[in-house]
Amino acid sequence: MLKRPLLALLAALTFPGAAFSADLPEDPMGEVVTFSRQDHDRLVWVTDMNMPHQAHGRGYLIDPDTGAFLAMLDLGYWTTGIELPSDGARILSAETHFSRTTRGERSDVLVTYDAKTFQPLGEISIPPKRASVVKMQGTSALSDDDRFFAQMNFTPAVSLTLIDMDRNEFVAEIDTPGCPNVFGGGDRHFHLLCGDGTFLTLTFNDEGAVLNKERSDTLFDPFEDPISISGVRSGTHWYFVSLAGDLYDIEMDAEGVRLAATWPLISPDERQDEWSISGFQHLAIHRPSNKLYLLTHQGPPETFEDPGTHVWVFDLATQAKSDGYELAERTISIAVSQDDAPLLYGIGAHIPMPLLAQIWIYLTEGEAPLIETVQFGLDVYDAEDGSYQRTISQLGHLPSMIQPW
Amino acid sequence: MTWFDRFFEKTSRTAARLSSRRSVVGGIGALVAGTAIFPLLPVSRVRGEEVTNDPGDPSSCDYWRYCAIDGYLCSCCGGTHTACPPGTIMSPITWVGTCLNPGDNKHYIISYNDCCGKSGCGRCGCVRNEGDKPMYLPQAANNINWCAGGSADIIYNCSTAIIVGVDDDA
Repeated sequence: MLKRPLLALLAALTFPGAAFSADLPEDPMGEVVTFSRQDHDRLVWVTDMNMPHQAHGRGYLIDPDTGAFLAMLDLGYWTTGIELPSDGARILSAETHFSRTTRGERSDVLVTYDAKTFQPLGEISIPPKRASVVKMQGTSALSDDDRFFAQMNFTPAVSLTLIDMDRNEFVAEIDTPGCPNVFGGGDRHFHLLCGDGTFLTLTFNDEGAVLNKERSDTLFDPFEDPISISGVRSGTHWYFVSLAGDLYDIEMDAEGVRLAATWPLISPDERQDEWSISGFQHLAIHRPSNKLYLLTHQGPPETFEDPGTHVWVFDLATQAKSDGYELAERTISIAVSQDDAPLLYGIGAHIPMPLLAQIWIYLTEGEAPLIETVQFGLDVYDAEDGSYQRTISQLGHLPSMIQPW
Repeated sequence: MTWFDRFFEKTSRTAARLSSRRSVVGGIGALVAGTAIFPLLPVSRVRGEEVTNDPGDPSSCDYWRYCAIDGYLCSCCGGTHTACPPGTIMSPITWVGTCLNPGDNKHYIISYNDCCGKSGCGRCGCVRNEGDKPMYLPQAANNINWCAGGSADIIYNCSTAIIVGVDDDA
């Protein structure tokens, strides 16, 4: 007779809330979270070509202050990134799809997504020639008034697809031999980076008809020390870094493309010590303070795409290095928010085990099992002093581009 | 040497400096450094035949022909370093690199033809960028999906490393 009360007493002691609380109410079925930009101080898009599952390229929307993963987009086969119009209401993505996932009929489309529901609002058919390349910068661009979208093609013949976003229609495919990468700079101009060290400026009218093609002077030596395509922009100035570490300040506007200045980000002594540019997105810029951020590491010249270990900070007005810090993780891309207390974002390659365990596995089994464990995440730092804030982990298989929104 | 090798070489040396168990971790560092300096045994496997002047393991990223590669090694994906896996198609156009063969101390021009028509193999990913150029110099750019233009369109599976000649000028 004493057994039941004794069990009840034990249960009450073990789960003190259970004996006296009401049952939880039933949850509503079918709810979907509503996204609102006003709920977030800062937002970041991370684009992932998702190798080796590249049929399913993806975009991830992150709140870097809370570390919340908010939403995602499916971006088709081997995505090369998204464009973000200034109205904040749309997301544009040039995509390739096959009728049988990896075979069948190919269709290339420019998709407009609603920036609140993340559902497609519409799509425009474009020539099935969209380039699929590893670095995403310079593969597409928007005119400064957001009316025209330009897409790099590679078949391997090089051309540019021009789309009118006001009329929602494909306008033209423009041959641009030798000049694949496209950059914005003006309402009716696009500027293409060419293999001979020049830029090609296309000028077109409101109907999208090309009025003029003009070559710049030779701005760099593409064979001795080519510039990386991963540039950053402030107004009419684009900043590129060469593989050896020289900065090229290049002005792009209606008048064409001109070299404004060039100076070393990596000094001769630092080059002797094998400091090198790193990763995919090597540069970031904080426009309000005119600061430039360079992702670096130490390694021989051919390691220019290796993950970076440090960030160096430069004052663009004085061309001087003002700061630098070591990152918490090996990092393949960086970007910076544009507010008064900026954050630095990095796509980090995380090995989820203690360092000594990593060394032991490396010594006993080699690098292969370690590479298999690498997980990519978005690391958030204070851009002022490099202090680590948080990581948003498990972001696909090869996220490579960061775009503050 | 991949960035993993460099990372662990440097990491182990740093750990050796910081650790009170200096002899143990220092030994690890030396071992890692030794691994990095002598990464390969002189073992050759080309379709099962021993080729003395073509040293290395084609399923290893350290194999000399892969000096400018960026992709999955077809040797690990059902093919070989010179042949595509069954069910795929070799891209007709690609980028080339120049690699030093330690077996005969000659520089060879290597054509990194992609194999196309199946999704990414995902095995033996290998990134070595000796001589790699930005994609506006496509003939030497390994960041481009070279399946473009082939009959299997842009469906990338893996990459080969085919000798197309000796580079007498290197």
